[in-house]
Amino acid sequence: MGINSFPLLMILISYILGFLGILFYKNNISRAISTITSIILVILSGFLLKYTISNGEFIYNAGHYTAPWGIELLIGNTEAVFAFLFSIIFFIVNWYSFDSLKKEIEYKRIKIYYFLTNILIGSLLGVIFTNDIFNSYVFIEIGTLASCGIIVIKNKRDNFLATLKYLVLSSLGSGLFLMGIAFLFSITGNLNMSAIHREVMNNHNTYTQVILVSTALFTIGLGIKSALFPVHTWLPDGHSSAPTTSSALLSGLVIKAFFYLYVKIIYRTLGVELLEVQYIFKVLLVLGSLGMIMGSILAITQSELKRTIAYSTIAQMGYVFFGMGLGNKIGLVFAYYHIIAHALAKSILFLSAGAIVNENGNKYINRVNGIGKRLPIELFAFTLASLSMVGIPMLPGFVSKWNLASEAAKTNSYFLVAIVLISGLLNAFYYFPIVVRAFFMDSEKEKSDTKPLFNINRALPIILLSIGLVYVGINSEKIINIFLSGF
Amino acid sequence: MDYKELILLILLLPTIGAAGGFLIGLNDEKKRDIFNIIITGINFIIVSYLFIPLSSHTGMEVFIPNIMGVGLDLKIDMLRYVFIWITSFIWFLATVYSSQYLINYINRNRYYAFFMLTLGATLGVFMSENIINLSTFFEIMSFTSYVLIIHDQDRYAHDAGISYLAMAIAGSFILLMGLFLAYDYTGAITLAQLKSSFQSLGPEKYIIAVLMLIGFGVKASAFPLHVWLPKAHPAAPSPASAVLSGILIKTGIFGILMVSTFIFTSDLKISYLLTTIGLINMFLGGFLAMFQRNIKTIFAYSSMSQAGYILLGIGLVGLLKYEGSTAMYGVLFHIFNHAIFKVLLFFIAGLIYMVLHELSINIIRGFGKHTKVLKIVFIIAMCAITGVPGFSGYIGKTIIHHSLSEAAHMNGGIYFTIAEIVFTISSAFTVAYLTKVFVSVFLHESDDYKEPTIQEKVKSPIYHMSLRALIPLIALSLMILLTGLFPYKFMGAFQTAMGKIGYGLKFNGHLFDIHSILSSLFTIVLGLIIYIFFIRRLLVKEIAGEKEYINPTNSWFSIERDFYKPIFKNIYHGLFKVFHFIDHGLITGAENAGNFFNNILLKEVKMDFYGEYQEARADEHKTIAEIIGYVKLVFNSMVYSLYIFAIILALTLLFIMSYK
Repeated sequence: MGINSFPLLMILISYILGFLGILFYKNNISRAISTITSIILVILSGFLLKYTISNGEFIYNAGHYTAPWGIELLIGNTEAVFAFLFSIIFFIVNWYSFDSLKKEIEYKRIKIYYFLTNILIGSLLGVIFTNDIFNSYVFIEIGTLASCGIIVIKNKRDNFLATLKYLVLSSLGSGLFLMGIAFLFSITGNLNMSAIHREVMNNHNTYTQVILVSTALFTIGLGIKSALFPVHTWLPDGHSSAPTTSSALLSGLVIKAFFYLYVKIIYRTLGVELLEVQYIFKVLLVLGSLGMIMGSILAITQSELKRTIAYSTIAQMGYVFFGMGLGNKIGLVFAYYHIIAHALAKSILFLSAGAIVNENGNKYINRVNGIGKRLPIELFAFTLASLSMVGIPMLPGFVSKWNLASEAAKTNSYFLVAIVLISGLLNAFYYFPIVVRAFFMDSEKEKSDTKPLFNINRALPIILLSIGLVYVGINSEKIINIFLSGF
Repeated sequence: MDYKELILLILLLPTIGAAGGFLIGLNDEKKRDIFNIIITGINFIIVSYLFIPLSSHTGMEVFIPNIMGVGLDLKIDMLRYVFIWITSFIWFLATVYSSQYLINYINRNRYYAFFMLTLGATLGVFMSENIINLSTFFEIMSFTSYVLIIHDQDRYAHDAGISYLAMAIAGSFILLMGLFLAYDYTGAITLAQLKSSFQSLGPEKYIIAVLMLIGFGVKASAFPLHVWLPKAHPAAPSPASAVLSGILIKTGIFGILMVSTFIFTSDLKISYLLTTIGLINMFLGGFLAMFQRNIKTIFAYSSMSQAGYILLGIGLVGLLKYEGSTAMYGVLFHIFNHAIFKVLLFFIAGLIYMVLHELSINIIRGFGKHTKVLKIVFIIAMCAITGVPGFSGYIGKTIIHHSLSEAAHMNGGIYFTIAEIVFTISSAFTVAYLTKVFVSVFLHESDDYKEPTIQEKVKSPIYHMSLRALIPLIALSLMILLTGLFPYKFMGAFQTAMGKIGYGLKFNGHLFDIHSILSSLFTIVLGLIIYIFFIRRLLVKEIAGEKEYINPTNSWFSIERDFYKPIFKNIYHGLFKVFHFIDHGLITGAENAGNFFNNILLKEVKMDFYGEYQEARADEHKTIAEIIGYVKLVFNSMVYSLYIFAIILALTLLFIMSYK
């Protein structure tokens, strides 16, 4: 059993241990099992990353059947980096959940939460690794159901509504995705991504219309799941009403995995060489730009803290789609880099926002005054992450925005450059007021409760994420080289 | 261990010392003192050890990418080594000395932290090959040394601190501007690249050079940028004054040396400029020093005067072209020696201050009459700075003097005749002001300080100098004698150092010939004459039955008070008015825009309802803000979501089917 089998092992471990955890009566045991899972995932994905960096990409046949019959896992640099990122964030969010979950959801549901997150991370890893298009559909469905579960687990009215909305839209998305698969299968007779690509290259002149339709179906189907702008409508409700840790996972990881699946379909399955496929980039560019601007404007108009952050996710996914929509390798690489930047920063934002909401007992922005004195560590991390969102040098947000802007400038469309810059500026309009309120405005409450609160299970995960954020910002060149060498 | 780690280590150790010392000092000050002494001691040992690998390598360079934007590029060659060695040596002694000197001071922890940081930044300045690193370290040094200057936190210190900070910041920004221009024109980021690409530049290189020279000139206290120096150096605690005067001036000198001889390879115009500034510095510093009453101020002005010698030497290197090697020897010797004897003088002043808490010559008169060690040490320092044969200062001064005569011989003209005269008179001034200090402090018979009995000697702190305070003094005195008596031992190292900037000739002049010695003695006699007929006659007045020194220069024209300050005040007020106008306009504009939008939002709109409520609600009005809120609610509903989804799907399909 070599490193080759680690991807499959990671998926299986998270499923098996997840089911194991729910068998025990006590919450502590299932929590411990989930933590162990996350640690194992971090270690395995760490080795996997090291292996792919030195040896390049490899294919693993699950169940020893070769490609057309069996399911292939394809792991290159990008997959390994994302797996590592997901594992680390999963681990940290898990750690954070030790104390926060008790306050947010009912006691008896805690072990169900851990079960669902285990299932979720397993299916996300599956989505990333798999080279089989139908297999990816199965993983999507599992992941969607698990995501719905960790939203509705809070058992409030908002959560039911949000989950229902998510479920309906997501099912529509899955349906379109499945339809896309059906179209492709009808013209290629294959479900393996590489095999489909081979066939499509041969007969795309005959089936131009089919390819176009299936591209559009994939775009909208996966666009719903990864919060492409006008079909994002489920996201703000779901992400803002979910428990803190669920929000962090949903906003930080889930939508990214679906985006990466979309990239795999466009680049690896259909093939970016096809002019029909490249046609979709224009759509992505327009919708991405719209998302960047509108997501931020909508975020400004919000009055709830977590809702603001959720809308910011839409704007940030706008950057990611924008980067892909540029249609070249560099744009895609910086979209990847922005995924890392956003995953880290958004996790920090949601975790610290969760701390603020829990301490205040109130979810509105105008009540955060003076909270910086009580939660200094959380608010410093919040400030750092929002600086990254706005795009301050040294932090990863700057690197991706700067490079996306300069990449857009190379295509001579200064309109796009202006959009990137304006969107960065808009970010400042909703993050800085929160920071200013938290640090510089006095609380209406008495001064007696201005003592700094320190909770190690809350502070350390956030500090770890902040260190990660700065590390990613400083070592941007290294990470980008890893992505570039994966092509 | 490889030398690369060592080079990084000598930069890191002071930083570690600053942080570690600060933390230790929170609990135990004694341990902190010992810790700092050990850190600077190790630093000094490492620097000394580096001489061995240095003699086999042509130059040691360390490059770490991804730090400070362009990477950290450190380099040590023999020229830089001279500066680095003297810095770490002096800092080590100053730390030992500080541990004794600062006993009665406040904020000791802060002092040590910044003292160590200044060491790190100074070493960084000397080692950085990259111009961005250079200006960064330069800036750090300015700020950390500012904290040393205002250490007393009294009015005088803050006043001096403001002068210093204003000039240092202005200087470093001008320097940065010069570096940016240089980068813009040549694309060079290291000093070596600058050198190679500068030859091809047109007249704009003089603008760059002048900007850089101004930037470095502030630190080197070149006229007319010297105004901060006589205020700032005396304000700091003595060990800090010592390093400010002995080492920090040299960072400016180092920069000027790099610009004028290394980058410009001795351009004639720049050399004349430097020679002139050097002469003015020598003369003005010496002249003003004679009037001062605070001994630290005297030493500070003396530093300005000695910096003048060095600048003159650097200028002469350029003027002499191929013969410039001789002048370079003088420059290096004087840089080296000035650091040692000026630090020694400040240490002596510090010892006096430790006992009396007073520095005015009128009050400390006669203090040193019976302190034998102090007297001997002072005589050594005085002989060194005035250039008595056999002491260190003599070497540098004589070589620079030789070079001056040679330049006069080569070029001729009235300029060099005046230069000769100024040189001699300035040297005589040096003798005069030091004699003033010596006579009044160490020879004057005062009722306050009688010949002590043995019992008093044991008890009184005046005669019971601590060993830790005395060791640095003795070490420095020995160093003076060593350089003074065996100058040829240093020539080898200096020769390699000069080879780095293209002046590697062997020294072939004579140091101890009868002519040089006579000229030195002549200067001393002239100085004594100035002392007797000028200082004793004109600067001593009888006030209330006591003979007191007066300082008439206080009411004279002051560059800072009468020139810089009015100019900057007017500029400030002018700009203030302009920006206030702009600012006000912006705020009013923003307010009006905000009000405008608010008015729109609050505007009432008649609603047209359809269906069963049409008649009942016919007169209902809603504001635009309410309508927006309603729309937001609608947009959030599931029906809308599905609606949007369908539209987008249809649009995308339509768009993509339009593909031909």
